[in-house]
Amino acid sequence: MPKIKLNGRVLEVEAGKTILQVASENGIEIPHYCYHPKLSVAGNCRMCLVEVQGMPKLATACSTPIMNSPPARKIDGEFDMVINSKSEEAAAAQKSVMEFLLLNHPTDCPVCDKAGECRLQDYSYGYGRGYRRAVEEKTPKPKKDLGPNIALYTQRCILCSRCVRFCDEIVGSHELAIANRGCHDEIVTYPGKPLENRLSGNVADICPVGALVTKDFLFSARVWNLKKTSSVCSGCSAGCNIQIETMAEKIKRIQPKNNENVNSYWICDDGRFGYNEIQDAKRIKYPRKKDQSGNLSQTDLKTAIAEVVEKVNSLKKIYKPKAIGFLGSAHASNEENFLLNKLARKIVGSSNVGLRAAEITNDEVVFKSGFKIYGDKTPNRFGAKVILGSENAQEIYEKIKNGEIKALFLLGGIPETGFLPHEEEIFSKLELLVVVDYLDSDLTQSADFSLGGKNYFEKQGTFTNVQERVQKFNQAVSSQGSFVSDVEILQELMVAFDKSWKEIAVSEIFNQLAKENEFFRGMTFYKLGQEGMLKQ
Amino acid sequence: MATKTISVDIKTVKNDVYLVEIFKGLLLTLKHFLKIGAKSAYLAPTERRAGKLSTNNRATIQYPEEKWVPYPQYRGLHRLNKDEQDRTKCVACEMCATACPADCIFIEAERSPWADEFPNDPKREKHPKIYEIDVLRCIFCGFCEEACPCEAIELTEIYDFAAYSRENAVYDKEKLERVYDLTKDGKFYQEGRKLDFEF
Repeated sequence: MPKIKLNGRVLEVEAGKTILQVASENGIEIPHYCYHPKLSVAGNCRMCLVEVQGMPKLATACSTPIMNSPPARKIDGEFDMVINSKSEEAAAAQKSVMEFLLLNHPTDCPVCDKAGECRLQDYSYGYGRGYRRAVEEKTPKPKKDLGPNIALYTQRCILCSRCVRFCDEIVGSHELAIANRGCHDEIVTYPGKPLENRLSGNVADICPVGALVTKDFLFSARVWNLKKTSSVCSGCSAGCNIQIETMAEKIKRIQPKNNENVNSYWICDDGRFGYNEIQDAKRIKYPRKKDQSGNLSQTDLKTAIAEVVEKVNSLKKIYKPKAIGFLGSAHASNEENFLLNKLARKIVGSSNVGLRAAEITNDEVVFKSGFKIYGDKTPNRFGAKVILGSENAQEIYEKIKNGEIKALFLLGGIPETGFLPHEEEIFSKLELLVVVDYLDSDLTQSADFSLGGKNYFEKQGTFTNVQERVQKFNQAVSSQGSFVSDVEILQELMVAFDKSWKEIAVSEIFNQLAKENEFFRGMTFYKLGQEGMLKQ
Repeated sequence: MATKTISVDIKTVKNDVYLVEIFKGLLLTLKHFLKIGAKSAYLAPTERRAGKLSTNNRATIQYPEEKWVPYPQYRGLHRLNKDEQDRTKCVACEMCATACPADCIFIEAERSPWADEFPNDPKREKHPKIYEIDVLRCIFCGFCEEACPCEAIELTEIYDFAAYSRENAVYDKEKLERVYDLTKDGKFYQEGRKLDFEF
């Protein structure tokens, strides 16, 4: 292994790695714009120039590999390479690159949405000159529309070509290109082919300056005011790691969070912009009850649950515990499904437990880099299947039709929809329908009791994704609807049926699930960490 | 029995009793009482800025009939400046809100209605949809004025803006722009103007 000296630190590193990779692995900052760990090396921003002893000129750290040198040519008799990113020559190069990049940059930081997380800003402080020497006027370049989600502030662009490489290498759609020559260079789309691939939002993330922006986030907040919560996307079964950024209890944007086991640095546009619909959905604020003539009235949770328990107990006496059905949800967390399963099998004593989830109608989309958008739009189908011991709701539906099941507890959580196809007709045969769902939909309006709940931005829990990886999602905003979460409602129900049940926190529910369920054995809520866990 | 001689210094007595000082002070009071002597140094600049001489030379003024005119550096109520075409100068960059130590400024930005008039100036593409200053919270430090990159927010000389309710003490964009109209010539008190919105 080559022995190198990097900024005075002696390191032994693998041959073939680039200087920039080695530096970032060892916590040494070398400024760069065009290099991205998941994209090919372009070496065009010239910001990462470093001094390598023995080389005639400064070398770009992003494209210069670490190499062995023959014993006779080792520096000081022991080092294969001696690199300095802070030497006088390197610092002067960084300074002049900064000046060059800022020559025609509008420096409109006060209105730029990237301000606060902009590489140009950071490096200008760190490596730049601090003032402008040029007296020439800047050439204005207008703002352009690249596609339905992305706009380009042409003048802010430093032509690092990250976005072009992203479309070529990760998406494979080749929508962007750099046109013209010299100072007329700019990012363009091909005529009649706007930037509308399903990963287009990522180009705004990887843009090191404020040139590419998402229209969704444009003007909506200054980034230093945002509160960041790491979570997991609920848009499909991939379980991409995301960062939910909120201000004043409102979600402002969603950004990908790096997890090499799941989504690398990317998320799809469905997950990125999908929060608007969930956030703006019509919600249930208080538990609701439907009387015999079909009128809905507001009630409180204690009374509603007491009435539910009374009704279920009387039904249990007339028929048998088997007449009570339970439907878990592929949109509900592992903990919620676990509690429902426990309520059904241990407390009520019914084995009629099913899994309610919309059928998979979409096709899987695979991009050039292997990034997948799954057709299964439920975040927790696998976890719910393992916990409930049921694949679907067909059996329960049949039993309701036959009249074997008279009462049904149902976990909702499917965004934007109430009834799944045919459900309205089937559920009309029930004597009692209790729904735990946050949406004010046709389903919750036709239910005898709808107890409310929170959407997934407002609660904590775990999802098991399609790769069978268990991951944590966290509360990002406070509830706009119900004040109690689904987990609390389910536990209230369990206490009302069985006084010996003690209410516990989400983390403890998961730990208990890990003790009782074979699949989750060996996991704890704490151990899941940032990356999630596979079956031990 | 030994006798003790005490010598009394007449100067010490005089100093101890402060007789002379008391009379000096009384004389000064009397002078003011009878309006004898030069104009008060304190009063002069006020009168000068008011553009008229006071009816008397008293150090007090008959507030609220007569309004004190503050010094030019005075930091009073805020205003939002407008350009020649009555468009707000503010670009909603939130520098003022970020600099504010009392956290009393709230801004929500949006695309400005005049964005198309400036295709090459991204700065005019953004303007505040909501711009609110809670003057009850404000400590009038003037940091917002200093942070503003486009000279949009300024503190004026207005000091009498007590409100009847907390809601009215939150100044929105319309009110702040109205303050600009009233103070843009810098003669708010000289002209005897009043804030003409709800308190």
